[in-house]
Amino acid sequence: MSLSAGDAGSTSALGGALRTQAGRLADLVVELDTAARRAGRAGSPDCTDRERDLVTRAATELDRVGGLLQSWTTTSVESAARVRALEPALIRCDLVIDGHLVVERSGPSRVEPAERLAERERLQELLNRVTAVRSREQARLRRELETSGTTLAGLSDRARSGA
Amino acid sequence: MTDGSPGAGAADPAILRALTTARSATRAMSDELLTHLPDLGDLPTQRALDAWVEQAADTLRALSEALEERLLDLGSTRTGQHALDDGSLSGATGSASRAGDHR
Repeated sequence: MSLSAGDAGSTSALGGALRTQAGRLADLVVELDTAARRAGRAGSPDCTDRERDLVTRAATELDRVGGLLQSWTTTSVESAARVRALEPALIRCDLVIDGHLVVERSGPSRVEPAERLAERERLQELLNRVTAVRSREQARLRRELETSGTTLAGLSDRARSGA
Repeated sequence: MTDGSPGAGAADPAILRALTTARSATRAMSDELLTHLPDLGDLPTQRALDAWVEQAADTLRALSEALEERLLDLGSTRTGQHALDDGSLSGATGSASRAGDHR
């Protein structure tokens, strides 16, 4: 059985950690905001508005990607379960999954060739549905990661340039 | 990079404490993020995620640096005190020899 699912646990852990960090960053913004308001009432200028804005934007990105990774984990686990569900039929007809393809197991088989072929086509169709969902989600995740990475790079530049 | 407006009272102790906490927290988050080793099971997506994690860690470090700059900026306007890592204020005089790690 192939169709590598990776390690859903490690991905989920990162997703959870990112959402926790996003929450912590939001708390820090509240602390900074509260302190700035209190100082403002005493007549002081708001001196941390830029930092609050940067931290808020970073929190948004971490929360968004954390959620995407958790969503990906769900997709990955479901896909793996669907592939596992094909296993009894694969074994019965001496078939195996090789990459994204259902192929005949090497060696002789007692299964009727016509039945084996029909089952192979049926299982391939089912596998195609699983791989299509996974591929679509992977492509979406890659796009989102690239977009978010660009946003974060902009935040790094702003933070370091003082803009 | 300090574009602050260090007016009278700008170095409010609560602001200094909040900045100190935020500076340390963002730095710690950056380090913590790099301890994760997620495995997506797909090479192109894995590369995208690895690059994103590196970027996110860098951004958190940059935030920590920006918070530190602000802390220094405000500390330099406040004579007699500056923020320590625990958010308290020391009795040092003059410029903001800051608390914690310099990066």
